[in-house]
Amino acid sequence: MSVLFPAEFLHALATLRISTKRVPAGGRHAEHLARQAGPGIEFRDHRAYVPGDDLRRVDWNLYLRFRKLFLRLADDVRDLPLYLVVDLSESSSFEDPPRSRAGMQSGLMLATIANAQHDPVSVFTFGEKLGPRLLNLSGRSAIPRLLPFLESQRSLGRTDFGSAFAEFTSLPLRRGLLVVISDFLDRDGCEGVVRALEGQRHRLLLLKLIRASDRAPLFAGDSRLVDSESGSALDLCITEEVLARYLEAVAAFDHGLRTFADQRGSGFVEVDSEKDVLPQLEPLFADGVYRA
Amino acid sequence: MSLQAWPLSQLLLALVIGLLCVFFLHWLRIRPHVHRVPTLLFWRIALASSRERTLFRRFRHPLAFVLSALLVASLLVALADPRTSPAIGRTRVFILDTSPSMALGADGAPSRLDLARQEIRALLGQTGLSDDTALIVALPFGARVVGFEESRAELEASLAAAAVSSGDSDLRSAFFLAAAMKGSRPDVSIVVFTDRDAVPPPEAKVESSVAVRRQGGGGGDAAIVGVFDHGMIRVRVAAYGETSPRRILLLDPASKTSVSSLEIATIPDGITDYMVSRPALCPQVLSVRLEPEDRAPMNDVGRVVLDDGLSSVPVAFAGGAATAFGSLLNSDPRIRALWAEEPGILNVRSVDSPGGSLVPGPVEVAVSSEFGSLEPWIFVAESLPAFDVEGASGARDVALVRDVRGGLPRSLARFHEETRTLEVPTGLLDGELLRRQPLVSSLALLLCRRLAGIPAKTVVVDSRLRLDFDPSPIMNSSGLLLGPQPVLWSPTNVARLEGRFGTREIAISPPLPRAPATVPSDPVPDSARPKLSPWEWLAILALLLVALDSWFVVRGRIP
Repeated sequence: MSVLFPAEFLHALATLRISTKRVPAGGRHAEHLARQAGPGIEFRDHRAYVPGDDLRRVDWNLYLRFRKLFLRLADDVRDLPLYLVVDLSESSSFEDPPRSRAGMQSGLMLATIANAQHDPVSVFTFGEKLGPRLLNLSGRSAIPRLLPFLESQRSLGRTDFGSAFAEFTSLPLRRGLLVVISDFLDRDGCEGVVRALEGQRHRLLLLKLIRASDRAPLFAGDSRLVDSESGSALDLCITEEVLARYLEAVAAFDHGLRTFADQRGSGFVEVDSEKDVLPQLEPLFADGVYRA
Repeated sequence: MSLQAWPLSQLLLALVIGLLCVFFLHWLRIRPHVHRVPTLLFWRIALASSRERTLFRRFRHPLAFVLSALLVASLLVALADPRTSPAIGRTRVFILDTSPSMALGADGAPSRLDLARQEIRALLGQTGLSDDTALIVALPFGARVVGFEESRAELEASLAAAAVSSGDSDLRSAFFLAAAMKGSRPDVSIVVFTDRDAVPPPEAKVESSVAVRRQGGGGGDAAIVGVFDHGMIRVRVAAYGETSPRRILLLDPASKTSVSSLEIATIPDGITDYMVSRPALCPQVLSVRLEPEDRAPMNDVGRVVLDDGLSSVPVAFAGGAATAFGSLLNSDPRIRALWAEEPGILNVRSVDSPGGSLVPGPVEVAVSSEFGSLEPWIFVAESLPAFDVEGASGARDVALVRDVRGGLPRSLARFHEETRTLEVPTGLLDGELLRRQPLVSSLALLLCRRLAGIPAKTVVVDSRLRLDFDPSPIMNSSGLLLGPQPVLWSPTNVARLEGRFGTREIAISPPLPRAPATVPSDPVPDSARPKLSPWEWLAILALLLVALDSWFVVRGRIP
């Protein structure tokens, strides 16, 4: 098994599931109830036959009784496409350990769970724009294909949610669960992130990759701060007052993201990249199920 | 620590090295710690909220650098103590010759004494605030001293009051006095203003640079050196210079009714006696003047007082002393005669006891270490049965004053003949000891005094100083031991100050006329406080500013 994703990590996911109330029509037969009734096993309703209906779904017992044709409707179970959009920008990659590592572990965790539910998994990477991707992974080969793909990824430059998700939106994708795994440090701030994500048709799950140093900088006094993505420098004397204002700005950013997630009914989880990922994601799975 | 001896090139090199060190330290200081962060977004927001501090932050580092450089430069300059006249040392002793020839000059030109005064004033104008200057007015016997502790105004006043004496000045004694005043001071320049050769005697151990400023080398001068009454008045005239001057000898009678004069076409070099007829109907002659041919007879050069009541030896003296003696004689009718057989010894006789001692009762006698000096010293004998200035028999209080014309300020000092010591209240001494302290100890003393309220006198010296006289007793020509009074101002005297912090030898200078009889009410007079040069104050100011800046830096950092 991969060094990036140890076997213990994968085995721990066996009991976890992702569920949703209704999935859009289409797709393949899987475990999620579809909005439309279909050729399932669990009975839902009857309706009158109209020409063109599949005769195999006619309830012949009712025909013998009422001499009219009725169709037997059952719950349709379909798959839920899982779209993992992993941030591989420089801000997620330059630290040690990189935030993107925790992001990949989180994505793999969700992909493993979805794959076990026969849900197709598509993985996208992004930086300034969408990067390499793997689409519609399913079956036994999905995870083995996904592992080397994730491990082979490198930094994709600056973070640009607007450009990347504009491209993502233009893709002909079935509605599913969109998991955005990122530090969300867009150059336009929280507003840029919200602007890029609010138009998405998918259900959203936001995994924010953080580090402890984000809220407790390890430096003080006269410092030169260099932006990991743009390379621009900022000379400043980090005083208590400046630090307080910095923390206020960080808190405002987080508050904006949480508010957006709450308004969308989306999940929002912070993942500390310096800690184990699995314990941090467990709260997301109440009773072992994440209800998207 | 002093860098006075460093040449300019080394000082500049030290300055450059110091500034490079400051720059290096400043570079280390301003070099920020570089941190790579995921984004600057939040930091920019934080800075934008505290925009009002940005201006100061931008200027803080250059300001610290400038202050540090200023500190180094000012400290270096303070140690180097720059001055406008590099040829003159830090401490200077001017020796002014007041020989009769100094009163003369080339015909129509200022006298040599005036020229010397101008030169001294010019040199005084070049001195820095921290320089020490002393003036020794060489008299025929001993000298008048304006010490280092005296103010500049007093020095200039003494310079202006200096006048010619009736005899040749004792430059040798002046050199002794200069050597004693020099003490352990480094870099002392002795400048002699005279019209003759002046070589310091080897035994004086001057060990300083001696510069002789010759006055009036070109013309010819002459002066009265003695007047004698032999029926006719014999005037002894000494001529100097390269050319023989032309003079008129004038006798000024008391009655102002007639004036006798003798025109001397050419005075030969050396000493010549001239006989002048006594003015008719005027037994007393007030003055004898020697004037240039074309000069109005108003320039006092020599005066003589002749007392026809006694067949005494005439006394020659000069300048204002004649007036002083005249008033003295007039104020006390019991005193009929004053004369000097030799320098330093005053004989007083009264009408009532022509051959004996002074009559009992308070009497004020003006004398000088050199009888005939322009500014005689005054000794006050309080009800002494027999007062002899020369005798000095028994312990007594003597009043020491400096200038007979200055209103007679007096400070009591007690002389103990048994131990040959003189106790002088500390009020008579100013802050010489403090003033010469190094910078650090001066600051320490200043802080101690400021913080603890300790008077300066208490810190440095005892409440009473004991002056021990070093020289051997002075014998006069008759083999008699001279009293302590002239010894006090002997140029070879060395006083030993035994203070709380050690013993120090200084040259004895005349007691200060400024000092009151009692201890000053201010326990820390200004003169006792250490005097810092402007450069030293600047260095201290820069040090405080840098400390303030560092405090701001430390305060601005997060602990």
